[in-house]
Amino acid sequence: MIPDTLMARLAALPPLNPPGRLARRVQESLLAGTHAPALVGEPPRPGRQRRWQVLVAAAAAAAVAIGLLWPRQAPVPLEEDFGWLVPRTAFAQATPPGLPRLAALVPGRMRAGTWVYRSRTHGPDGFEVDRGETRLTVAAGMRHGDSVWIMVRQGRGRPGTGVIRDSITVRRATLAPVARVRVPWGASMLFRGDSVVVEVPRHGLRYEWALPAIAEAPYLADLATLLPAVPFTREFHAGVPVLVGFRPQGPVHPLEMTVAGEEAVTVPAGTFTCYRVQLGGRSGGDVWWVDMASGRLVKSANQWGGDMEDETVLLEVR
Amino acid sequence: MADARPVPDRDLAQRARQGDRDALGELYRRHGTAAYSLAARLLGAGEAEDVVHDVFLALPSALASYRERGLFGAWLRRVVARAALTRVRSARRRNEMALEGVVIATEPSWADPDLELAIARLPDTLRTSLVLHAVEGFPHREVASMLGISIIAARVRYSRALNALRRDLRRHGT
Repeated sequence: MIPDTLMARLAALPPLNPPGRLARRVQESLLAGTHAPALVGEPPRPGRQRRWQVLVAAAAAAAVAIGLLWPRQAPVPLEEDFGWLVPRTAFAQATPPGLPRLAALVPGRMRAGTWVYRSRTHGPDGFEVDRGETRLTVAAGMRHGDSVWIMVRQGRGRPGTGVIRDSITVRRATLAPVARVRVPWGASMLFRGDSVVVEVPRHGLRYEWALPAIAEAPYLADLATLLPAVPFTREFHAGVPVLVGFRPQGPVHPLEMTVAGEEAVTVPAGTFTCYRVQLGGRSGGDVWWVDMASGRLVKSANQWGGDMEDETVLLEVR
Repeated sequence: MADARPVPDRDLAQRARQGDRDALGELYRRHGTAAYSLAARLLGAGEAEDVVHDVFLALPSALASYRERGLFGAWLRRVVARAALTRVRSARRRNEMALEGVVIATEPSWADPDLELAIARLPDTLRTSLVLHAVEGFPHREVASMLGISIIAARVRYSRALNALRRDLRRHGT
């Protein structure tokens, strides 16, 4: 190949011999004490390339400054507090390798009602943060001629995020999502089969995102509200891909759900016989206790930071 | 019995720093060829003589910046390269370096005259990058530092120089 040949020729170039007169000239100058000029009298001047770099850097700095100063639409963390029961928002996609796919939900197991939860974070040395109460209401309704479940979550979010109110509407027959509205930001999500339209009128935002293949699996964020429809058994072991963040294009991590046993759990709402559901994968460490009779969440715990724990318990059933 | 081991460059440099002409002469004997070769490929024969002459005359004062950690030969080549490049820049500003199209006589010491001529015919911006990296073995980072350009620019120039050299060799049937 020419490049190899050329490189070899370049590397093999021998030094060029100086003419004999140069040695004599140097010697004579040394003997005569000739004044030597400065060797490198000037530093490299910024060349064209350097000037371009300066120009590009200046332009980038100006763009950043404009970006910082320009009035912007505030980012909308649509899903920031949606993980009050499930730590990650998720869209079901393909089955994680090596895990059985979550079996089809059983829509007939859903029931109307209201469940009130209290959440707190606690740690060593008496550290405790009360994360407030959350009320989950499931009500039957109609939407565009379809029989739907309207599931509303109300409560206080993480410290500083204020009151939350979400509603999720799913078809009763399939539990497929139809719409979602998040009140604090006025955000709405309308599901159109293979896409979702997100609008936040308050900020003038409108997105339409293609949805991954959902098939019969639910959005995992909705899974907490749809828990009664999940067919837990003693040997239940299923995988659900978890989309971290909100956008369907985001990174997907497998979430593994395994029934690790049965336990009697006592919470302010009473004592319940529960499946202990261990979450693995990205949300490893989370444990749910799910009432075997109603399928409702009774308690959840999530250890993090070594010795800190988030805990949610059922306060009341109405 | 006298010690036949050659005096290390470091010791010669120390003596040269104090103006010892014998030490300077010995350093020239050892490193003059490499210095001239580098300068000649960057500047051409005539200018190279001036550069090497000036470098060795200025060596006692220039050695103040020699830290004796690296090889003296490598340090000297960097000094020569910078001195030669200063001349290249000065000549460029005076528009004196128009080697393209100039008939260049072959030197008797050229082992590969076609390649040496092709290198000499390169525009000076490309020639300097090519000589410093491909012939003299300076890493791109150091070439960039010497030329006052970014490393990326040094790599780009080197790549362009190779392509130009290849075209020139094809054009001249070598």
